[in-house]
Amino acid sequence: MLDTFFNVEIMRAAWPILVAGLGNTLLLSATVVPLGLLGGLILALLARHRSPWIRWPLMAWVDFFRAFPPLVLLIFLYAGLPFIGLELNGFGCVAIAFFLNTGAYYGEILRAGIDSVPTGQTEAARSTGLTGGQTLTYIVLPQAVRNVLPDLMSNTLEVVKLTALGSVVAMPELLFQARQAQSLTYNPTPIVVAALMYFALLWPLVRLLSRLENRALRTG
Amino acid sequence: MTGWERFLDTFFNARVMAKYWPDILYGMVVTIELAVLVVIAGITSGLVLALLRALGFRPFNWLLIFVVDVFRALPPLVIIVLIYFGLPSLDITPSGFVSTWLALSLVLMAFAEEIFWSGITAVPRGQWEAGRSTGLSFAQTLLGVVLPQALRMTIPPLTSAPSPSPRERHSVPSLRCLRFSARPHRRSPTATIPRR
Repeated sequence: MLDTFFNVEIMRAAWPILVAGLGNTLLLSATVVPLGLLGGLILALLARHRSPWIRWPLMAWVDFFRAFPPLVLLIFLYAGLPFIGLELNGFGCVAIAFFLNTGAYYGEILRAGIDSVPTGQTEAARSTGLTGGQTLTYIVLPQAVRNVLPDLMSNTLEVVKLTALGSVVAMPELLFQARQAQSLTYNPTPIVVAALMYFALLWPLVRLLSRLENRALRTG
Repeated sequence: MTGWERFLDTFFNARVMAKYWPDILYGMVVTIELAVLVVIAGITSGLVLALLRALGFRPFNWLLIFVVDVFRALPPLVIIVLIYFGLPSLDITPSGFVSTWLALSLVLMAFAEEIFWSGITAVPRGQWEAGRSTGLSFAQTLLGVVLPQALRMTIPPLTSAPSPSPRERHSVPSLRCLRFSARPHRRSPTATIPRR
């Protein structure tokens, strides 16, 4: 059993491949998390627009991308975009798909956060002479983010986990590399090691979230 | 052929649609079957684990928390691949359907356990004490007094109901794990337990 799942020789051989994969996973996460946050912020700010002509299509947009499985979206982009003359590599497709999908989730969270800041805060800030932009940057957003921080972190955890979907479009991230190594060696050791790497990477975040959740309940 | 016609021909091709319609329909049935089975297995096992956690047996709880952490930290796709390609080495050869079902059920189990446990801990101590002092046993108090109240609180996060107001949100683990399974679902952005 040790020989099957923790084969040291295979581990040593697959190690460089897996480390490269881990690097790509980190790079991918470092790209798609800010992209998603940016998309979410745009959506959250537009959702407060007075005109229903902007708000309704926006709601449909967010609902659509929350209901659409990211894997389907990714494959659709990867297989479909070349037909309209847009040849993107795996990384580009993953970036766009995540911008659309996680942007919608981040948007909903940030909107809830912005809604949670009392109107009096905005009114007070505006009447002390701050501009709309300053009010948003220094008064509303800091409080909004603090109020939904656990949700933002939980979403970020999910986004990092979702980067494993990149393996489907030949993006050489951790899972893809592990699958390659596994099919070369006919041994599940590389996948076990990849799983351990994912766990080592994300366990601290899971623990932290668990604590935040419990604290929210106690003080709630 | 205009650009629009080419677009329609590429993405909404009637001939291809007609040909593969039965296959897609069959796939949809499989997706629904999978989703139903995952939800049943995941929620049930999550509830059982949360009840076992309430027994307060330390070493068991540490193990349980660790297992829950593992399934919250690993990408579902990694778990599916691990089961599908790993188990055959132990002379168990699960089909793709069984591998996916098992993996997603384990993930849902972990999230559901956290949600149910949040519900159980949110029931005030007084309820426990009152239950026990009226002569109910521990199990009777847990199942008859605490659990019904806990379940009522966990219904919003489990069924994705929106919360009354964003200021009354508690942060509890949500069913985001199901995003991976191709099940479209709506839920509030922040899972909720109503504040009392």
